[in-house]
Amino acid sequence: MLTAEDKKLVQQVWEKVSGHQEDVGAETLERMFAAYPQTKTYFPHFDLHHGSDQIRGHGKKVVAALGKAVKNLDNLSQALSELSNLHAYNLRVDPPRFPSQLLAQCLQVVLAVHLGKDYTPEIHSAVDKFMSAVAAVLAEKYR
Amino acid sequence: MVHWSAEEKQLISSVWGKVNVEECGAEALARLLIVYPWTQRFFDNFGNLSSPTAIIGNPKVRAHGKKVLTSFGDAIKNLENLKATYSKLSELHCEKLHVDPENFRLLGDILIIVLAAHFGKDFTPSCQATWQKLVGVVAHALAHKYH
Repeated sequence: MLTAEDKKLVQQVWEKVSGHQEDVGAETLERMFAAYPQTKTYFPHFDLHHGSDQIRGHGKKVVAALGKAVKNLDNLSQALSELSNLHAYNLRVDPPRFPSQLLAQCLQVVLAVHLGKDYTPEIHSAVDKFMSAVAAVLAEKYR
Repeated sequence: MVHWSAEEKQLISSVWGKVNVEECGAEALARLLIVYPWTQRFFDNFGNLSSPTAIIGNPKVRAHGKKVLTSFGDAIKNLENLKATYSKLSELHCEKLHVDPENFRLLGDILIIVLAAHFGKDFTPSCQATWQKLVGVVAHALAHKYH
């Protein structure tokens, strides 16, 4: 799925956010909760107000996991294996839509907001494919 | 009937007021064809779509992108009456163009990313939420006459 060029572009983009991981994570989640209120159903135990510590903490976790995926693009299945188990057996978030569409869309918006023109169609395409690949691995063990 | 709050209407019109329909439309359609290459199936007669550069520079893509986004502008003028506004277009997309409505959702999401890239921080989470709602409702109206 991901060509060598795609992998390079994803790594490049990730370089650019490496200083702002917490911000990117928090903003992605905030946008997701605002645009897709149904995603809040998975966080009844969270304070979902703007700037909440829980959102920042969780956003940081999500971005760190994606960062791990970026470092292991040739071996996503193994790198995300534990997370895959977690999502399949514990979290059980709706597999086709949550990570690939809703979270991915919001991550892309955050990247576009920060990179502007530098969020080229080629990068957009590579990130979209990357998020699809991540979602596929996370959904592997659902049934 | 979809309800639009005063704030939502404001967020829609303030963004739309600053959109260059030709540029944004061209970019959104180009990105659709680049990021989801299977959508090229609807544009066999558009000529060279062989690379991102070719797609971005393709005059037919630009012209069609402008057409699509101009039509979007009609939706914005008729927020209270979208299904009627898009009735004929919906029939067209079903009966003549044979476009799977899933593609409307894809284009809507891409348009949002294009807006985010253009407006940067001004494209706040509330802005995005309102526009995600808008593109969803437009997609729904376009699919409404399918049979």
